[in-house]
Amino acid sequence: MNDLKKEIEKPELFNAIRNSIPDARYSAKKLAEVFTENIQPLRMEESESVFNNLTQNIQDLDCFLGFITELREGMRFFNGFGLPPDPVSLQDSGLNLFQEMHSAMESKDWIMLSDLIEYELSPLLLKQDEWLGSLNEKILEYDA
Amino acid sequence: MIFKNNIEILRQTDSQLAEALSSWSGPSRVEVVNTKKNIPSIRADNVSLHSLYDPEKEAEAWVKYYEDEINKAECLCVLGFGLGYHLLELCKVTESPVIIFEPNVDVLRKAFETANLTAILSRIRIIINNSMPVFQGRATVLQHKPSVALNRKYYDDIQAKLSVRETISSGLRILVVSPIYGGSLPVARYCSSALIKMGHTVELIDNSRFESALFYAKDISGNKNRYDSMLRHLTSFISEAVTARCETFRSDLVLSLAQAPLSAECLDELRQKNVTTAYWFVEDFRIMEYWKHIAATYDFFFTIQKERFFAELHNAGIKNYHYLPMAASPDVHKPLQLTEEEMKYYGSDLSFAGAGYYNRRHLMRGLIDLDFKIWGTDWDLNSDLAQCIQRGGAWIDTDETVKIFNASTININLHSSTYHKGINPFGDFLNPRTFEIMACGGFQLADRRPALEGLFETGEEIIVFDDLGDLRTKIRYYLDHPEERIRIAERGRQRVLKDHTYENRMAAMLEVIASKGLSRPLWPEQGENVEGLIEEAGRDSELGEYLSRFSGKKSITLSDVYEEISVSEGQISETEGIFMLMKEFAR
Repeated sequence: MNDLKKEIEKPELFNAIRNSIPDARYSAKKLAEVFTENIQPLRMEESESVFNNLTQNIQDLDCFLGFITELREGMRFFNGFGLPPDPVSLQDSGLNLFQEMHSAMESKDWIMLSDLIEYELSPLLLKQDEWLGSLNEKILEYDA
Repeated sequence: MIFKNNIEILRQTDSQLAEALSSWSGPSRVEVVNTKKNIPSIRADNVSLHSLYDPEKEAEAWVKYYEDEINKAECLCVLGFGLGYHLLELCKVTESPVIIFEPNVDVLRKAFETANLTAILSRIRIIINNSMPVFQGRATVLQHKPSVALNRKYYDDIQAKLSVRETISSGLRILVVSPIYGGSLPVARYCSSALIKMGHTVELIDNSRFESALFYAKDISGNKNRYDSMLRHLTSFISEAVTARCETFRSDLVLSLAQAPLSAECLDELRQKNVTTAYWFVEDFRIMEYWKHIAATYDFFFTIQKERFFAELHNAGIKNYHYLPMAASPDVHKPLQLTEEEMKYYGSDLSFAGAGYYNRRHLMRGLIDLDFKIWGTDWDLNSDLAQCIQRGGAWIDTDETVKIFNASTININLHSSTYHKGINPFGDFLNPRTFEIMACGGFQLADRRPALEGLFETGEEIIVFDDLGDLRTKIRYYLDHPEERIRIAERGRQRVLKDHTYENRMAAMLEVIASKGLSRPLWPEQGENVEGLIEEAGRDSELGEYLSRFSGKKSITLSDVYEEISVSEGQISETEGIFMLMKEFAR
C-alpha cells in the first residue's frame, strides 16, 4: 500500500521506469547475443576488427550498467516493487565478474576473457532480461 | 599410464622427441587446471591456452573457424600444441598430414601426461625446434592463437620459413650450371627439366659448349702449369658469364652440378648479391677429392654419400651438407617399344652398360660363358671379355643405354671400384644406373650395398648379389622365372616413379633450402610496362594482340617473351618469329 502511495507521489518516475523496460530488455538480450557472437573470433585471432567490436560491446555494456544503476535508484522509491535484487546488482556487490574480466584484459588472457563473457556475462545479461520481465509484470499489476 | 601410452606411440615415429619428453625435467611455467566441465585445461605464464569452461567445445569451434582452409589443405601446419584438444578435433576432419610446431617442451610434457593422444600420435609430426621439416605439398597454417601469443618470436620465425617455402612452391628463378663434360652433364639437364616441370623458371648454362676449348687446352701444351693456367682462365671466363647471366636472368638460386667450373670469387659475388648457391656433388668423395676446395664456397652442398662423407665434411669444418641420392628421369629412362631389329641388336640374356673399371673387368670374366653383352668404354679388348664387348668398346650415349636396359633380360649393375676384385664392401652410394634401369622397367641384379636401405626393398623391388657365385645362381634363377622377374621389375619401376625421380630430388633439395630460410636477392625492377607496350603497338595490331597475353603482368622483358615462345605449342607465328630473330641479334 505504501509502495502504491509512493508511486502516486512520483508518477513521472513510475512512468519513466515503465517506459524504459522494453528498451532495457532489448539491450540486455542484444548485448548477450553480440557479446557471444563477437567473442568467438577472439579465441582464434587478434585482429583489429575483433578488438573494435569488443570495445564497442564494452561501451554498450557500460551504458546498460549505467541504466541499471539508475533503475535501481529509482526502484528504491517503490521498495523495489517487491522483487529480489536484480542479477547484475548481485554480481556487482561481489564485483567478481567485472574484476576478473578486467584482470583478463590486463594480462591479455583472451581465452579467459572469452570464457568470462561467454559463460558468465552473457548468461547474466539473459538473467537480467528475465528479471526485467518480472519487473514489467509487477508494473503491469500496479497499472491494473 | 596416459603418459606411458602416449610415449610408446610417439617412440615409433619420433624416438628422439619421445626421449626428450621422457627425460624432461626442469622448472615449468605451465599449470594444469580443472575446468568447469571437469576435464583439464592448461595455463602458461598465467595465460590460458584452452577454455577453462569447455575446451572441447572451443576445439570444435577452432576447427569450424578454419574449415575452408582445412578442406583445401595439402599439409596442415599447426602453430601450438596446448593440451591437444584442437588437434584431436582436427584429425577427425582431415586426412592431410599434420605438423605441429611447439617450442615449449614443458607444455608438451603436460599434454602427454594429461591428454590421451594415442589416436593421433601416429599421424602427426611434432617439431620443437625452429628447423623446417621436409614435407610434400603446400602448407596451410592454422594458428592456435594463445600458443602463438606465448611464443611470438618463435612463431614469427616459423611463419617466415613457411612463407619462404611457399615462395619456393610458387616458383623460383633458377640457373643450373653444368660441367663441361662428364657423367654429371646429363644430370644437370635432368635437374633443369625437373625444375621446369615443377613450375620454376629455369635456365641451363650448358658448359658442354666449352668441351672443345678444354680439350684444346689439354692438347696444345704438355706443360701442366700452362694447362692449369688456361683452365683457370676458362673457369674465370665461365664464372664471369654465369654472374652476368644471373643479373639479367635475376636468379634466386644457382645450382651447380659436380665439376661445374665456377670460381670461388664468382660464388662470393653471388653471395654478396644474395643469390643462394647449391652444389650437387654426384661423385664418390673417396675418388674425387676436390670437394675439399668447393664444399664451403656454396651455401648448400648436396652429396650422394652419407655417414663417412659427412664425418669427413664435419672434420673439415663444413656444415652445409645434405644427403641427396641419385635418381632417374622418367622422360628419358622409360620403357620402350623396340623393333625386332633393335631387340636383336641390343638384347641379350645378360648385359652390362658402363665403363670397364678394375672390379668389373675382374668379376665379369666369370660370366663369359653366358649370353652376355658388355657396352661401354675402358674395357680390355685383349682379355677374355673381348667376345662380350660390343662395338669395340665404343662410348654409348643415353638413348642407346636406355635401349640396352629395355632389351636385356637381366641388367647387371656392379658399382665401380678401382681396387676391389668384385664388390666394393665399402660402397656407400647408389649409381644413376640403379635408378635408370628400374625406370626403364628393366630387371636388375645389383651388388649389395648398404645405401639401398631406405631407398628400395631388396628382394621385392631389386635383387642383389653378394659375389660371383651368388650372381650366377641368381642369373640362372631369374632367367628361369620370367614372371617373377617381370613382377620385381615392375615393382622397382613403380618405386622409382614414386620416390626416386629428379623431381623428387629437386623437391627435396628446395625443401632443405627453404628450411634454412631462403633470402631472395633484390634485383632491380626490369622490363617494360605491358599496358604501355600494348597501347604503343595498337591494341588491334598483331603485336598488340600478341602482347595482350602478358596483360596479367605489370612489366615484361624480352626474356619473358622468349620463355613464353619456348613453352608455347604449335607453329611459331610471324610475331614470335620476329622476337626470336631479335633474340639472335641480341646474342
